[in-house]
Amino acid sequence: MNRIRKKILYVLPVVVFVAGILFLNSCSNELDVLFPEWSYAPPTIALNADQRSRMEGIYSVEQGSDQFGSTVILQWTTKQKNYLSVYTGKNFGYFVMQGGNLADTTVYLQGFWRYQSNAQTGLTQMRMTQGTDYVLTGIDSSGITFVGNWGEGQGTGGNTVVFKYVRPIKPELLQIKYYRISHHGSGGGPEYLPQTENTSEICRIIERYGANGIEIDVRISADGVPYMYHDNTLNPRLVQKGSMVGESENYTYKELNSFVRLIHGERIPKLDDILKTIVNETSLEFVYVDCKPSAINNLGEIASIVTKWDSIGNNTPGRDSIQIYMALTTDDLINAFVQLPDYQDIPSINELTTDDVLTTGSEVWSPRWTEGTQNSDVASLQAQGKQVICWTVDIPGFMQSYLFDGLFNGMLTDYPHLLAYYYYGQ
Amino acid sequence: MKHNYFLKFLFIFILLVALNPNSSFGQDIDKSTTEFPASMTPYEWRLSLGYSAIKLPEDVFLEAASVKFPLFKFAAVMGLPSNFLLEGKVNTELVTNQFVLGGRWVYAFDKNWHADVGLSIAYLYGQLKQFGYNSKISGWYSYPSVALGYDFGNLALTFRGTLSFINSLQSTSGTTTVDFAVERANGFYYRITLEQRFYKNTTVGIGFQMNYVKFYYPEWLMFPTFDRYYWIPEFQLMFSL
Repeated sequence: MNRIRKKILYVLPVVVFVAGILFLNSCSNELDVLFPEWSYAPPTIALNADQRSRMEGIYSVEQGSDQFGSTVILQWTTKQKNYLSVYTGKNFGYFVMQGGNLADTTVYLQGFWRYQSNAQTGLTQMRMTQGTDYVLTGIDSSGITFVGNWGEGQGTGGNTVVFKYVRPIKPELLQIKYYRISHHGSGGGPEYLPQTENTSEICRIIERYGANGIEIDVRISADGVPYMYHDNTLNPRLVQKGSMVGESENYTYKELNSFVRLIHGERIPKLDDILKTIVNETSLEFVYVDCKPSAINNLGEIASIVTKWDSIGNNTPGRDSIQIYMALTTDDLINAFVQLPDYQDIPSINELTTDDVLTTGSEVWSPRWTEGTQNSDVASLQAQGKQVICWTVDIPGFMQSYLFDGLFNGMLTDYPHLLAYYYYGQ
Repeated sequence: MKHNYFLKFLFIFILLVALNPNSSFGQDIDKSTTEFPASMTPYEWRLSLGYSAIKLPEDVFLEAASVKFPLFKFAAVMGLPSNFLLEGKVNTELVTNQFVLGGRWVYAFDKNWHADVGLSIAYLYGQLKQFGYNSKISGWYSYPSVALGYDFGNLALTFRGTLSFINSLQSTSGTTTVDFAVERANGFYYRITLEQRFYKNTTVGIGFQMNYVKFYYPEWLMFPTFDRYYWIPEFQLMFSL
């Protein structure tokens, strides 16, 4: 018996050690997110700008409020004109839908709903049962009602949802520039949206999720090329399994472009390419190019690209104005920035102190949200013609408080649709 | 990464040297432990000091590397009549502190098998006014727990399961304070602890704790907004004093 006990005493620590190591490495927090799609879309005629405008506004949820809250906001995205976004506010929820005039008898919409706070999602479709004449012709305003259904996952489901028009969005809210800047277009994590963060692909779709601006992250490759990538290393959070490991800056851009696939299959883009997409293919109005530490290796090139696309964007016929800034995030970057020729003419954001903003001649101050609203500092800079954008507000209570009690010109957030819900719902 | 290597080295060192089963012991392990469900002489005190290393989910805590502090755990246990134990703990990360007070009732099935059930109430307070933060958090937790342990004489193995409930939670940034809309049922954690005599009448224990929670208080500065549970493993090293 004693021999057995003694053996156990020898073996037990080793067993516990091995089990512990397995235990620590076995847990997975991967989330399996579905992006449901309709297999068939009935042919509809796209609505024109006036027709779309008549539909936008605040709606009460007559049926389905347990799922989507009591009030929703309908808004068409500006560039992709046939996408209608519904901001629901509940559980970071939203709808993204497409549709239009169906045989001059109704407005038909189909798409999906989603809770961004978890993986719950499903298909949905709706028909306008009241107000079609008003929306299509502008006469006989007797209110608008949508009746539809929603399901879970890929199923269309039999749950009824009814939206009833209450009022338009206040015109002054549509005129004021309040920036809802998507935090590297991530939606809080790379698996939460159908495209990977910091890609041209996410820029093309991010307006459907309530954003009118985007923050993207720039690094410098081993051969001096500014490219887009957030994390310090090539890791499973962002990159599919492959032969490339370690810090992405250790590779040339050609190597990164050739051998790295992001988690949704995209390639890592250059700064030049992603800004070209934003300017030419979106209506985004604010671009926040966050310079990671390696940006110091070719800060002049980043400045040159940012300045070029800011100029092109603001001189492109038919495009609304756009502000493209390079964001200075460390003292080293600031010191390097002020060595650039004519640095005060380079569009820049300063994330450090208000004094640093004046030193670099930046047009925008971007403090961390965790420092509070800082209204006196914000007002002081705004009086000098600066804008103030805080980063990165994701907690609903703080988002509302900063929107209503703060003086910021906008916020970075992983949930631009929730910020849109609070903003347009005023 | 160097930090992890150090911990692994320390861990293996303790296994190979301190956990030597041929050591001679003055008394049974259950006379020194604070984790194993052993009854104590009424009003006898025991103290322990522990350290936790935490592996955070990278997909959520993007900025975790920017603000990370070691988590230390102090515990005091006092024996009470009728196999009850009074337990107080301070878990501190320097900027985050949790003060725990609770009780356990111990039952011995035989010389080797022991169990306890307990309930603790915890107050959480955290504050950071550096590194771009002007933030505070406070709140109340409750932790019902159950444990089963086996006493080998020189070693003690304990499995403890604990439920985590959040009774209230407030966060402040600057002058703005909001109630976190977190669910009351926050999740659970379980821990496997192996304890052994270390030096004189002290013990050393190694523990593997798996947290399955929505809100993980030591990382409140990076609190994610997703309504989902996360597996967050902890490695623990603890010494009775």
